[in-house]
Amino acid sequence: MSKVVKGIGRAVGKVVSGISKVIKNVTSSKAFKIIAIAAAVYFTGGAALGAMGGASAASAAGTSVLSGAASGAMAGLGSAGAGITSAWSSLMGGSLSGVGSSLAGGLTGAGSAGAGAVGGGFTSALSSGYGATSGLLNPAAATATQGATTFAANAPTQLGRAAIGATETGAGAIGSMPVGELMKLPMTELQAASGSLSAGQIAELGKAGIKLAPEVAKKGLLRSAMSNPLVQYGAMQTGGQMISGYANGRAQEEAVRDNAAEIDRKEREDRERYQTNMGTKLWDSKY
Amino acid sequence: MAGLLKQPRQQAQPQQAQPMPEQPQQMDPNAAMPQEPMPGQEMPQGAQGEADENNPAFQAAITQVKKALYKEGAADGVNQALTTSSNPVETVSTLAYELTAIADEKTIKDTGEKVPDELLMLLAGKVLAEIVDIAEGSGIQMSAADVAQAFKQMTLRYLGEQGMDTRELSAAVDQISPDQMNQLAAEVQ
Repeated sequence: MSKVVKGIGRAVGKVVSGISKVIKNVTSSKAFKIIAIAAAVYFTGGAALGAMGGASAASAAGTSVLSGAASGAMAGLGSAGAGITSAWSSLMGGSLSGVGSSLAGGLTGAGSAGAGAVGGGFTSALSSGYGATSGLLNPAAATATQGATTFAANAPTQLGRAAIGATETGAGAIGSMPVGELMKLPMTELQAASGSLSAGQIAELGKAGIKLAPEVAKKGLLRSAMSNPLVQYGAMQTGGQMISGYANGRAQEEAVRDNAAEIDRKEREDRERYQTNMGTKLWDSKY
Repeated sequence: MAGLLKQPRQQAQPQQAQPMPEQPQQMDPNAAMPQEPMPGQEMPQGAQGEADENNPAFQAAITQVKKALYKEGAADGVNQALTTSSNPVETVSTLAYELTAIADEKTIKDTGEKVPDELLMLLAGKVLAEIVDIAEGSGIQMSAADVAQAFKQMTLRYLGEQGMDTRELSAAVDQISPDQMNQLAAEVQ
């Protein structure tokens, strides 16, 4: 999964979403069952354990494997479970929509209760990350595909909100400023004025972030650009999660190059100074 | 599966390209791995659109893993590595990760197809389960928490190698104590 995967361009979101297949996999291997449990806990904060019980129920004469005691253990995960979903949300950024929908979709057949739990878990994670996305991935309300589509349609607004912490009012001069002008503002200023932005502006900012990410990646402006939340979110949303890795490498490369250039410059100056001064009388003798 | 280790080691196989290997005779019938097709038998095609376990590349990767472990003697190497390891969890995780990567690479080389992205975790999980079975066959007791820890390390390593900052996620999953994981496993199984 290491260098090979990099070479053939694995889509991290798809790889992670494949966890639903691990969780669903009904097998007699004790070790694999433990792995499936670990997957359910580490990827969904325990939410998918319900789905696992549902899946196993099919092979256990309709009785859920998740007993009351297990529910107690799940409850015991408590805030740790919530922390995990939040951490995944933060790690995967926009591509979580794909992960969440795949998980929810993949687990739908495993049992509506479980699938609902997974959908709910990710809905909750998304809500904390991007504001109101309630029910987006809830299979009871919509199919996973519909959920993903809805997310895609709402993504720019969500991204805009998340990036600058905005709530739309459209008040004041900034509320009618074109997005092109807004993009020129320093991020701190943009964030400070976020309360005055309109809904349209926020959506446009989100779109701009999405468009900008691949461009800056191509131009190698990542060191500065990746510090821009809009670009970060845009990069994630466009499935460009590889960019961050690329960005790190690129930033290091640039730092090394800058450093080398600085050394070259100093050496050149020293050389020029030496050549200028060589054989030159620095001080005229009066005597 | 682990009982294989007690079997006399098979004669070294020539390294040339071989047809799809036959199912090892000693294979545990309860093994987690899906059955591979007999030589000449076509792999069943997965459902159109979303890849499933019947995906030919996935099946080929599983075959590579089994062949490496049980036909080419890698299981003995795993056994040796584990019995001399001071940190079996780390060793199990590393071995499973590397074996998954090798199977992934070899599948592309041999078949020209890659294991679908969404099946990579499943492949990794199955490889890990095999390694854990071998570890237990070697007399190394691995608790549910140990297995979960190995899986966690594989996942975080993968994400880390993809350039992601896994510190927050690592801290979050570390909040699940080994006792909780053991308890969950005992109750869910």
